[in-house]
Parts: sequence; C-alpha cells; structure tokens
Amino acid sequence: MIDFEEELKKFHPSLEVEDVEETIYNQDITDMTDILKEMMKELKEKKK
Amino acid sequence: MKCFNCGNVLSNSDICKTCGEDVALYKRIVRLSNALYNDGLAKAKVRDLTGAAASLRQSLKLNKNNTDARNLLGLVNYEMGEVVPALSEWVMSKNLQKENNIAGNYIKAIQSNQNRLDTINQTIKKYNQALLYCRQGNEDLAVIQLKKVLSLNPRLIQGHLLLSLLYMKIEEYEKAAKSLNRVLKIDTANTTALRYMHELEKLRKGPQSAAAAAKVKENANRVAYRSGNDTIIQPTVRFRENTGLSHVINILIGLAVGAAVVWFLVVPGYRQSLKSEMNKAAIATSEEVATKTAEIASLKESLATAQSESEAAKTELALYAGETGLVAAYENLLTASNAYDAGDDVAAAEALTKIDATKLTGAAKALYDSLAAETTAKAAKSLYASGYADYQKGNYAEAITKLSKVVTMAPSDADALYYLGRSYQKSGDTANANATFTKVIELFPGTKQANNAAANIK
Repeated sequence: MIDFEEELKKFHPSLEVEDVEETIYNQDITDMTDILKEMMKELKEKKK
Repeated sequence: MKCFNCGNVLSNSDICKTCGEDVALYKRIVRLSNALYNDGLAKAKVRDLTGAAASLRQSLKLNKNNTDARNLLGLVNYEMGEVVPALSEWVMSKNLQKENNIAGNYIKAIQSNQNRLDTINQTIKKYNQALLYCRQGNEDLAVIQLKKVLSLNPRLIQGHLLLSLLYMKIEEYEKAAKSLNRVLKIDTANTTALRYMHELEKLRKGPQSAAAAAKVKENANRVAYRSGNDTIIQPTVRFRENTGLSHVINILIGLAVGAAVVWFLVVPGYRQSLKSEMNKAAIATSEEVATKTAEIASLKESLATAQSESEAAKTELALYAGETGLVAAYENLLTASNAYDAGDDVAAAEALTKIDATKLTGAAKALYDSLAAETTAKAAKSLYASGYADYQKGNYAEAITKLSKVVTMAPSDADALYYLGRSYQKSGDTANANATFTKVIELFPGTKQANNAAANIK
C-alpha cells in the first residue's frame, strides 16, 4: 500500500537554470582517486 | 592512462616510471570506473535510464575524470527531463577536460535555443509550485499545474511520477496508469514507476474499485485552478480526454452549423435573387407580349383594311372583268354591231343575248337598244324556224341549242319554249323537259301550249 505522504517526501524540488552555477560550485566531486592520493600522502608523512 | 601524481602516461608496470608512485590500486580504480561506465552505457541503450544513471554515478565516484561517463550521465539526465543536472554535468566535464570534449557541443546546443531553455525553466518552476501545492493539500491545483508542465516538457519523469501519485490518491487509476506508462516509455526500469504500477494493479482489482469508479466519475466533473487571487472551479467534460472523438464530433457540429447557416442565411438570399431575376424576366416578357399584341392588333386592322380594299377592288374588277363584266358586255356589243353591219342578224342577236343590258349606259345602251330592236325579232324568227325544222327532223340537240337562243331573244314566244321542252323530252332529258313544260304553264297559262305542256309532263 502506497502512503501518499511518505512518497511525497521522496520528491524534491527540481533545480532551476539560475541554480546551475551554485550547483556546480557546491558539487563534491571527490572521487576514489582523490581519496587514494590522500591516503598515499598520509602514508608518506607517517613514514617520515 | 595517466599517473594520478605526476600526470605522465603510465606503462604496464604498477610503478610510475616518472614519479615512482605505486599506481596498481589506481589502475584498478580506473578500470572499475570504466566497467561501470560500460554498464551504464549498456543500460542507457535499452532505456534503463535509472540503472544507467546509477552506474554512471558510481563510475564518477571512482574516477571523476571519466569524461565519457560524465557526458553520458548528462545525456541520461537530459532525457529524464532534468535539464539543469544535465547542464551541470556537461559544464564540469568541459572544465575537467577542455580539449576534444563533446560536452562543449551539448552546452552550445542548449544555449543556442534560448526560448526552449526559458520554457524548460518555466516548467521547472511550475513543477516546484505543483510540489508545493501537494504538500499544502491542494491536489486539484497540483494536477492542473503538472498537466501544464508535462505538456511543455513531456520527458520530465519526476512530473509524471508526481502526477500518477496524485491520481492514485484521488483514485483516478486509469489516469495514473497512463502517466506511469509514459514514464516507463522513457525509462523502462524506473523503480518508482514499477512500484506504483504494481500498487495500481492491486488497487484496481480491490473491492473498493467500484466505489472508486463512482468517485472518479464524480470528481471528473469538476476542475479548479488559480487565477490571481481567485480559485476558479469549472465543470469538465469527460470526452475531452478522447481528443480523436472530440475532433470528429467538433467537425460534425461545425458541418451542421455551417449547413444551418447556409440554409437559413444564404439560400433565402439566393432564392430571393432568383425570384427577382425571374420577375424581371417575366416583366420583360410581358412588356414584349404587350408590344407584340399591339403590333398584331395594328396588323390585323391593316389586314382588315387591305381585305376590304381588296374586296372592293375585286368587286370593281368583277364589274369589268369576266363574262358578265362590262368589258365583255362592250365586246359583245361590238360583235353584235359588226354582225348587224354584215347582215347577220342571228349572230348580232346572239351577241346581244350575252349582254347584261343593265350594266350599259349612255351610248352603249342606246346602241344596244337600237340593235336589239333591229335584230332580235328577226333573229328569233329565223332561229325558231331552223330549230323547229331540226326538231321535226329529229336533230334534238341542234333544236335544243337554237330554241334555247330563241327563248332568250324572245321570252314571249310560247311555241319556242314548248318545242324546247319537247326537244328535251324527245332526247331523253326528262328533268329539263319537265322544268321547261312547267315554265310554259307558268308563263303562258290557259294557252294551247300550256295544255300541251301539262299533258307531256311526266
């Protein structure tokens, strides 16, 4: 049985064209490669 | 593949030959990202957009520099009606890889059609407004708004899903199913749509469906929308949903109205013009007929005049022409005169018998009288003797000819008349004989000839 209110909560407002800039700026594009780099860096520092 | 540390191209070794970094794990991450991209591509090809988007996001989480995955994710978002997320992916893609990047073309394509972009922006605003209406409990307004949005941006999957949810809430299951089918046409494995569809099937088969159908019918009769500060509620007509039938009905109604307009407005005017033309023609014809009638009357009058003149001329001509005419009379008079001069009294008398003395006047009359006095008696006597001789000889034809002349010359000669009758009788002409005998009796009653005639009548 579908609960209307619960389902409605899953719907979010769509981004408008004016929000593109902000969206791009706020997007976290950290990927596994970045995490790997961080890990490698920390390892090196620990070795030192 | 380039080294994540120094950016130089890597070899098959797990150690970067330039900076000496261990790139084994990095290589695995990149390969996994590519595998997820391939998976996303395969799903996108079969229109499993939800699945494709998920794979592509995973791919980008592993390797943000996977330009192909990012561009494809932008395309998938665009196809699902999410233009802004698509645009942001392409912008980021372009920033991460400036050269040889198809994302630049996608961005250019969107920016070149500013009107379309504005329209899509408006639809997004309206979708957000509709979502707000839903949260406020104004389902009717939300439905109206979403219909407008989806008419402008039919690929907005979120719009279709929200609309179908609203329809399910107000128990318009058929419309909900329609919206969900549209979603599944765009995104075949959309989880939300499949879940709603499953729930819809259960609801349709449920015991409340009959009551729901009745409620649907009741709710279908009204629609409400906002105009400024006013909320306008109007009755709706169900058959508007069936645009094909409504078009046919509208066309038929239009034809009927057109036919009625022609019948009541155009046809009377046409008939009137025809009537006036006919009247004009009739008037012209009547005038012509009147003219002709007058002409005919005039001609008849002329004809009558000509006929009377002709009769008068004929009468005058008859006076002069023919055997009894004046010309013939003068000719006979001349013949008689010449015969008398030649001593032929009989010929003169015969010629005189042909003349109608009443037509003669003046000198001609005097001459006639003179000749008649001189010749008639002598000729009659001579002819009687000759005719009587022929009678006695049995030459009845000659006797009849001569005695007939004598009777004409000397009407008082009873013997001539009697023997004429006897000649007729002897020649077998009983009718003329009887007629002659009757004449003798009438003209000479009591005489010997009359007695004899009476005795001979048969």
